[in-house]
Amino acid sequence: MRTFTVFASGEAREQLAILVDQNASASAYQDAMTSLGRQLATQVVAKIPSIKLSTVCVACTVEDADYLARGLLEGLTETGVDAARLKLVCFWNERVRRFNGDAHDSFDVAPIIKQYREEVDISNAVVVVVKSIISGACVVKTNLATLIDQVLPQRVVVAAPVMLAGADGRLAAEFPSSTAGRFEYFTFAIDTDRDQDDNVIPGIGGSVYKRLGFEDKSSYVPELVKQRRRGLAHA
Amino acid sequence: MTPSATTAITRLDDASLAALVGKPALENLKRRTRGGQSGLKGLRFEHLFGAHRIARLIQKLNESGTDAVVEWQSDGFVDDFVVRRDEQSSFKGYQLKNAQHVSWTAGTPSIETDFALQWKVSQAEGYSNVRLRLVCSNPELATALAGSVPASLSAYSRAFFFPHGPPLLEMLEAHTWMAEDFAFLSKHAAPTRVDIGQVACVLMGAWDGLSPRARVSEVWSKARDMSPTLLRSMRTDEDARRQLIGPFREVLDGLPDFEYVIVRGFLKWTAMSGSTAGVLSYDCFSDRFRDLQQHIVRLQPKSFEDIEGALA
Repeated sequence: MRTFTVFASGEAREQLAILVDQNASASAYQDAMTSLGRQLATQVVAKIPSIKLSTVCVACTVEDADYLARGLLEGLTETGVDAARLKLVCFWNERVRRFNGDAHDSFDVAPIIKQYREEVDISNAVVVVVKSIISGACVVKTNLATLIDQVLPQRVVVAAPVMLAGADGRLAAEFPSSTAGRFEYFTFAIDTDRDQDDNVIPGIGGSVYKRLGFEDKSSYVPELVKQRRRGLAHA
Repeated sequence: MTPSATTAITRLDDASLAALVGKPALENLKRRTRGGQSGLKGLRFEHLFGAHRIARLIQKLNESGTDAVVEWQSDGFVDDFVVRRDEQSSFKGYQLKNAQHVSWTAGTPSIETDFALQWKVSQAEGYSNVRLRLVCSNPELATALAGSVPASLSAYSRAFFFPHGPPLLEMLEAHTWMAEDFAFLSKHAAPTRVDIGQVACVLMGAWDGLSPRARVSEVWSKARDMSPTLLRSMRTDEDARRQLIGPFREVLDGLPDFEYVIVRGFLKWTAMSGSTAGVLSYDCFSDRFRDLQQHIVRLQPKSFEDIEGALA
């Protein structure tokens, strides 16, 4: 069952409908993700206006970089966040699942095999972790914990178009309460069900890799990373 | 009786056990072991404790070549976790207590009785070095238990603390001894707490898959099979560097703004003024690494971007 949150505008619901439409093309799916990223940014800025004056570190996974994270970055600048204060961290994660095929995911891990990281002082930043969907929270936990391993940021925003019910609690349970207490969640829809392949239903319409048209995410280098790296080289 | 394949250690059958400890104690043991057959799944205290002991034993295996058999619920009086080294006639049994009220003497049978019976059984089986441990998740209680070991057990028994409850990342921060034991097995020379936690998770998963009985070397192999990307190679870095063929080294050495080093058997790289970095997800001894070398040599790249996709 799906429940829309207070952040879900009519436009967001339309884009979520595109994600779950199995006939939607890869490019329509990509556009919908980008739009949802932009709308997440709008909601974050509306709820946390002080973010406009902050350094913002956006952390994403490789598969989300070119669409959801790009939309979020664009949305943040469009709503007043200084582009020079926007920093990007992109992670390439692997998945190791101990209990394939059953509901136990206690030993799931998502090691980071490479990362692109722009220089940022995390202790003086608002960290925004963005992911297309959060269910077990394993990847988000890994990436967030890696970012804040030594220092705590001012605020931590966890943003995803869709979350599985209880994902916020699962994520918080992995951190000391003093850290988890800083987490602020932004999502448009909360789903309660999974299919036999562990995909959230309706979620984001299945595997984000397949829907976005990825062949091999570990060898993929997002255009966003390439562009920003070129920008840094010329700065 | 079932003789061990390699030594004079002999596991006692029921008749021998009954003769040794008495029929009521044997029946009590049978009832308990039936209750303990539900497996490890979901028992985080036992999982983490087992994985941590195994991490230490892997270190010992690496240093001295001494393997051991580890068991979970091994049909004994002290058997929540057991380490057997039959070749050295060594038996170490752990009783885990994740409770707020634990006493050596309360209960029927008491922990004191269980320890005494286990010592008797292990001696009869041929173990000359028998050590028994009471492990408690409450630090104050563990201290009290350590200071009140009954005199009749004190020659071979101890009590100590092992944490349970808070998130793994928090435990690793609070208990650096635990973090260091897992960190030794990471492929990273200076692993983050997340890296260390992942090592612990993979060891727990491997142990869960092989329990209730496995050699430490088997758990290590399974863990590395499950996740080649997390765990170090035990071979030397010098040995790993020797796996790099000349043309591959020449190509990498010629790339501008690219550096690499071999750490714990893995190729670690940094590029583009440090903005992009990673450690390969397979070690230098693997077929994948051999394939990567050939691929990159064929590619004859001129810049990091030419090989970025291949570095995964």
